[in-house]
Amino acid sequence: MLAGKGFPEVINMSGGIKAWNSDTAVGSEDTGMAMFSGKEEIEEVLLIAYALEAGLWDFYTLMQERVAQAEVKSLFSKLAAIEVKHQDRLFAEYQAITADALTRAAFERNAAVQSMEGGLTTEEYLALYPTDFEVASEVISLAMGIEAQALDLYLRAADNCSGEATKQMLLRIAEEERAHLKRLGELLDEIV
Amino acid sequence: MTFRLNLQACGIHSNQGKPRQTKVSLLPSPFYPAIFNRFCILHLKKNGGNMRWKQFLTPVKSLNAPETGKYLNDLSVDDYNLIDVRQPGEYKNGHIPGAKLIPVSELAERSSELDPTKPTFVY
Repeated sequence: MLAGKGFPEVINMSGGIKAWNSDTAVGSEDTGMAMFSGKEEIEEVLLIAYALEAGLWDFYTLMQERVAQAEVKSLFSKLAAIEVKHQDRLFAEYQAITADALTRAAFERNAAVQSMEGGLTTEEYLALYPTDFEVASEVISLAMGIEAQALDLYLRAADNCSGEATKQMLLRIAEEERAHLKRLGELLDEIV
Repeated sequence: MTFRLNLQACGIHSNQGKPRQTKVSLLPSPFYPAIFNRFCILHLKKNGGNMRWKQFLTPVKSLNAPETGKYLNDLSVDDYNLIDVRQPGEYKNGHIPGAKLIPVSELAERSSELDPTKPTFVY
């Protein structure tokens, strides 16, 4: 159908979603989209993304305190550190485009949403991915599920965005999430 | 492979009101004949009998899931269209991150939402 409508390269994925063994995202098209109206300025998008990263950092830090296994504690610490790096990059982007930029502390105060990365709450993620928090591979799988959700959310937000500059920023953030997902996959390969 | 389409079944009649049929010969296609025939009938109904044969005769590449994953990973997220043509409920239960939901029944009218210059992956 598309091929006859001027799409010269159409690729059918044989086997469909059942054959897809990689990460998936769940939820309808508007899951998490309450945060993105499609009319945000770049600064607002960066603030939302920063807040979502902070939510996940909180979760990893809390879990680091709760688990008993040293290996898993170290893993949560590593995951939390990755989120901090992500936040650093988002704040650097904000500073680069804003003439009268807020301080980091003020920026953080403005970044307050109830969800974690990907737009779901902690409870929603745990319902989706029942996880044994003393098993490192399960923790990484949960983290990968969250990153897949985040990648999906940013791409949907980009698709819904009316401003080209903001759209490009959302695509850049999505690309980072995808790289993060790939690194987690490599980490999983190392421990299993 | 030959398909016989009953155009009367599509509500399309000749000027004399006699049943019309058309015979279509195609190279082997990924479609099963019955599905293809039904699709053609629906298409004809929708388009008042104007069949755009090019869309059925243009080859569509097929990749398995691992090959698709690798292909997508080698491109930046803005360099391809990824379309989920299933129903909304199926999409909700699990989809490839970043896939755009366009159920197959809406694909023809919503193709303008996609950039035709990019490779388009469909599942």
